[in-house]
Amino acid sequence: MVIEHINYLQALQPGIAAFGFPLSSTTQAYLDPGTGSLAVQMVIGAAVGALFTARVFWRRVTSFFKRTCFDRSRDGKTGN
Amino acid sequence: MERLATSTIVPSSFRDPSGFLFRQDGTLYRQVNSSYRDNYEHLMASGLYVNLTNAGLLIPHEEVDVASPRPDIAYKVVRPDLVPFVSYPYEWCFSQLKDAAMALLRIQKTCLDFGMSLKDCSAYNVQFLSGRPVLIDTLSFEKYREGYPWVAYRQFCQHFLAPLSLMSHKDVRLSQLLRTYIDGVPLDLASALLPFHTRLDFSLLSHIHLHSRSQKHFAGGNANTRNFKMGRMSFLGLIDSLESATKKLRWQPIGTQWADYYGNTNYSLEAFEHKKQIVADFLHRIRPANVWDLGANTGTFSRLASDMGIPTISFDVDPAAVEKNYRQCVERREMNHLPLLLDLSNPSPGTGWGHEERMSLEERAPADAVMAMALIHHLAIGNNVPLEKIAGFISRICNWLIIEFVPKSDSQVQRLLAAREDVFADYAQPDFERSFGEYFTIQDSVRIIDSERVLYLMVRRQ
Repeated sequence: MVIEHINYLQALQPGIAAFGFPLSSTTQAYLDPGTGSLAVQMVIGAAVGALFTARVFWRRVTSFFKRTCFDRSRDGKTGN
Repeated sequence: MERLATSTIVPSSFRDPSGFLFRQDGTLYRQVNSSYRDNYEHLMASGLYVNLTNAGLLIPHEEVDVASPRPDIAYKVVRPDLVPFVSYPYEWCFSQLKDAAMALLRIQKTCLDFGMSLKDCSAYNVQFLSGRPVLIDTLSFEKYREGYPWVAYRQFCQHFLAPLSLMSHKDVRLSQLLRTYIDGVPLDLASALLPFHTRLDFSLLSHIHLHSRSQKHFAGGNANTRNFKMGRMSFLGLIDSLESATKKLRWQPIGTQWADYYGNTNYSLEAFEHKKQIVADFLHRIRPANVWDLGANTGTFSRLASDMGIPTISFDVDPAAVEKNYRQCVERREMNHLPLLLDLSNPSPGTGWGHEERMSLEERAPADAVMAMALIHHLAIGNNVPLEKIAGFISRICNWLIIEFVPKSDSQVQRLLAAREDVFADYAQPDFERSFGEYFTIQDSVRIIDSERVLYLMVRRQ
């Protein structure tokens, strides 16, 4: 079962780089973020980040077409 | 080194080196330490503070010129708006905890638009003001650093997602785990308690079960976190995922004894209306500054006070009743009414470091007036608490008291006695008046028509 083999977290790290940037130092916050919590959020972040990016892109595409269609119909009405 | 003026520093304000709360001449102030200067300036100058306070998500404050107990490390002193009553997550119903979680995620999303991020996500940093969850810690923000994972992710999952998923998928009473675990429900415990089907839900699989496994795997702490990277889109995706996970958690307040109480009482309509009239008359006479309604159920009598503009807190032991009450508050946009979960036979204690981080109920008292409708028999007969002890406790938390005496002959008391021996020889109206008379002066008493119950108006003896 997937949660029995969390070693894949390390294996996935190079792939995560596509969505990440190298860290120059550890965080300075007073809260202990927890190593396991940092690791798992990178894995989850990689997965949901890809979906999020796709959604944002799709929203931009649809809003572009909506805007274009809206402008045309408005121009058409003005022309009448 | 200069000795700390510990007598004025709020005992719960010590974890974050960015600043602390202190009291001076009865007013609450927050010191912003020099180490937090950059973040504070960015919060104020970027427009984030104005955006969040205008949206009612962050408590407003005013910068003041007040001497601080630690001037050596001070950058500024601010006076935040006052929170009239501090409540804790283990006193909230399901929807209150969920609304608090959603408010923090909304704040986090707004932060990112202004180049900042929440550096902690404690449920104790949220309070209900005018019926809405508000972040009360002005120092919870830090500049967003490109590439860093969210430092407060673990805390959000432990303080919100874990208890909410347990309440939703297992049992609503598991919110009380927050009373024991002051930094939120440990994720391995949540993972072990949650039913198997939650592993089929991607959000809960990842944020609770996988998260818990990851914590266990890295428990040795020998991994180099410098190599951990997380880009902005991943960061935004994570917040979005937490938001949708929280949003879809639900709980319906049905089928409990108290949530349906008014449908099952022995009251006639006339008696019920008469009781409301008497309580309203008492409230008009004393005009209290605030009211605590103990055993408030879904808040019918609390609303007599809150509808008069009196800040009112409804306490009840039943999570379903509190949930129904809160939903009604939200629906009616009630600004001065706060429903809370409380077991009077075991009220919230002082907890945390030195018993001082979270105040007991008594430390948050006194209320100007306490109402205790149809409560006395549950404490005296249902919980075997002697009348003198009930009177003694209530006298420590209020000035005025509006209380209903329910005699043994009442069918509700008979129900409590149905399966047990009646060992309550001292439970009668004269005993009640004598016990409460030791702590209070009885100002008035009115018998409810079509009933054997009596309503009293009392004032605490000086």
